[in-house]
Amino acid sequence: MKRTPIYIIILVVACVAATILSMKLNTMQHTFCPEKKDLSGSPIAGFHKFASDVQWMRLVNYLGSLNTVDESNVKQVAGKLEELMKLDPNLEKIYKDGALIMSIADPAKTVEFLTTACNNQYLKNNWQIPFYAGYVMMHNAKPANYEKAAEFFEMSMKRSGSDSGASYVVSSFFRAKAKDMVQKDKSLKGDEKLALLKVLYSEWENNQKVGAEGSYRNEGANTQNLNDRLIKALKDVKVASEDYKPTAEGKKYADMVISKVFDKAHICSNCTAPYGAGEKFCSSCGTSLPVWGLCKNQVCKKPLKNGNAPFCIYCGAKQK
Amino acid sequence: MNEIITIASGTWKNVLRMKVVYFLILCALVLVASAINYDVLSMGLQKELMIDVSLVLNSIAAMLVVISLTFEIPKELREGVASTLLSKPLGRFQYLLGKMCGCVITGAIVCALIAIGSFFVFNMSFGERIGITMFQTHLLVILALIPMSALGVLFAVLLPEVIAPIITVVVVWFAFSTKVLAGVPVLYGGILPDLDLFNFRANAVYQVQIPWMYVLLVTLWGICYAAFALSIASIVFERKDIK
Repeated sequence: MKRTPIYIIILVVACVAATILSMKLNTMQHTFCPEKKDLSGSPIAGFHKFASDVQWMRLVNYLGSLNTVDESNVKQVAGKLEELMKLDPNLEKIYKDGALIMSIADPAKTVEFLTTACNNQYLKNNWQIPFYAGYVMMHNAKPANYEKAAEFFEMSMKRSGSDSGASYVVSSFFRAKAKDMVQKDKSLKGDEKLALLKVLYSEWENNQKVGAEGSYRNEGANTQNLNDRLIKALKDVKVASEDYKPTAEGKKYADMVISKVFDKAHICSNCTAPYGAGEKFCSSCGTSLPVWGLCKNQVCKKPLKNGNAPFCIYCGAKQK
Repeated sequence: MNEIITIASGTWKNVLRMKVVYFLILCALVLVASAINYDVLSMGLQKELMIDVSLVLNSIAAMLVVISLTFEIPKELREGVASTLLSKPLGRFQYLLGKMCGCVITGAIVCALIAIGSFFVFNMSFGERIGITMFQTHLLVILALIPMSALGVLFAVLLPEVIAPIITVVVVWFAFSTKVLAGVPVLYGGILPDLDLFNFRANAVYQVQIPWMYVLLVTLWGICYAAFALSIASIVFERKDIK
């Protein structure tokens, strides 16, 4: 009985100290484990991860029993995936394998799931998830939202860096931008090839401003050569194919791009094939070409080696 | 201090001399190892499953050790063992503290055996080194024994023998969900425990390291909460008529 006051003092001090510490720990948790605050509030004694493992295996079993995911069962599938997300929002498979299963039956819900994953701190370096979101926006959503798709592809591009899939992501990004342009700009009359060229040229101009010629905004994907893409787009706009007939407007725009981007690259204005020093006609299409790389000696006037050699190999004249 | 160690050693010897404990540890390790067979059903998540199963089984083992304590104290009071011990120059607080320490040490040994066994199984199954986060999360399961044992002692003193284990399990179970009261000072973390502060099973799976400062602070919280629970238990125990 004599000790009771001591116990009461210990009790009060311990209670206050425990409260202060628990508040601090609770805040501290969110810095290295931010998903904890989004976890399901169900009282399952902290076995959220284990419950998610079990739920995941049950979902795999359930999906195995379905012939396809369509309007008749998409709500159940989405419900199960939502349940899983509340138990373990970091589980990549929910998004990469789970959500994509219902991308045709319910693209809006799929994008909603994938957007959640894109905002997940733990998955912040995953480039495939935003890519899938963009893909669903572009190919499955009705109507397609190319603007949003381009945003997802851009996010994916920033995350992918030099990953092997990066090239495909960059292509998808430009395609989405082009499709968005066609959708908004009626004067293009549905000409996606011209739109793509416009998008690429605008990108090239942006890069010129930031001094990153030939790469995408100087961010990671340096290997994604913008000039190569531009040459291909120029070819597509200028050269007729089975499903495409070049337009006068397209050709004019392409000429402008060639003059601005490839003024020193020496490519044919008709077919975009590169040509060498001293060549008067294109070897691919026979178009007359502006001659370059000739010896400064008025008597010689022969092509220089590589077009820019310091001395002429025929007369020895110095070129500078 | 010697009296506390004597009481504690009596507690852990009682549990650790039972062969069934080691048989259960072996069963737990077999269950951990069986996770490797879930490769098809989990679509390649067997490694994550193995890590998680080992942590779940370790937590259950910790819980069982605490339950054993809630049986032991009332039994000693009923059989008169406690009165014999308390007739010696031993305070009632020391008796409770000794019991709590014994429970923590027993739990630590059992959980450490499961953790080491799981690390071995994991290494054998996947040929990978054990990540620091895996070690940290198992350590946190062991550290969670401090407040859990204190709760066990509290309910063993407060409640009759039949009800005490059930209430302990229920309280520990719900103590992982008190985060909803995080905005209520004193009640959250002070009066009601938040055992979720020790729960980082997902971190072990995703290899997200826990700061050592956090581990240190959460241990401190565990000790503070144990002091709180043990003080209440002592006040009640001081007034108890022991035959």
